[in-house]
Amino acid sequence: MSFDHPTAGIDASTFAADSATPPVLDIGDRHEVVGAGFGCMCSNSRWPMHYYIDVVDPEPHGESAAWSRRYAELQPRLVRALAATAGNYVGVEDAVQDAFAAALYEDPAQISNLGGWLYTVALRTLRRAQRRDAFARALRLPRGPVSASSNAR
Amino acid sequence: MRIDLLADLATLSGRERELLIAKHYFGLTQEELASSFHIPRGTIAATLSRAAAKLRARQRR
Repeated sequence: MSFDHPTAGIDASTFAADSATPPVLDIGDRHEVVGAGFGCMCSNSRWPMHYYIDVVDPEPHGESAAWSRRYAELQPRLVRALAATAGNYVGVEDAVQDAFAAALYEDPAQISNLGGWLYTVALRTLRRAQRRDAFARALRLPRGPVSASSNAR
Repeated sequence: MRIDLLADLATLSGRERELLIAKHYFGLTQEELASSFHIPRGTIAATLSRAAAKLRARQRR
């Protein structure tokens, strides 16, 4: 198994002050360091400061340009088709977005008809959201994110 | 001849619209429709031909 997450292999000893050798961090040839400095992950300052590095993966799946092209081509078609199916645009763009996110985890070679695959996945997501909304309406649940104050009412 | 397809689609049932769009707008085959919608192939064919007949009847008017 090859696991090349940028923080793999980093532990306390990497930046130990008494370490004889300066810290050398191998982040692989794919990631780029875009920032570094001292900082604290938490706000209560009970924890000591840590040295951190910010890394980005410029090509998350090695084919981001191909996905950009597919997205530009298919997203408007999917939104039109789903809106025509559902009769309105409610939740349509979110469902399309979720379908593209799910497609990133699939092997592109296994999907012969990407548009059709995305349409059926987005449709299933949309139907689930519609059922959930109808259920919430039937129970007269508050719409949108539930906060403590809206629960207290 | 200009067809008001959107208005015609609204007269179909939800299932009919889904299958029709998946087949004719995204080019899914009947086998792919059957496996992704979990419907038997015979039902797919029947639903699609019924939907097509409904649209044809509306066009003629």
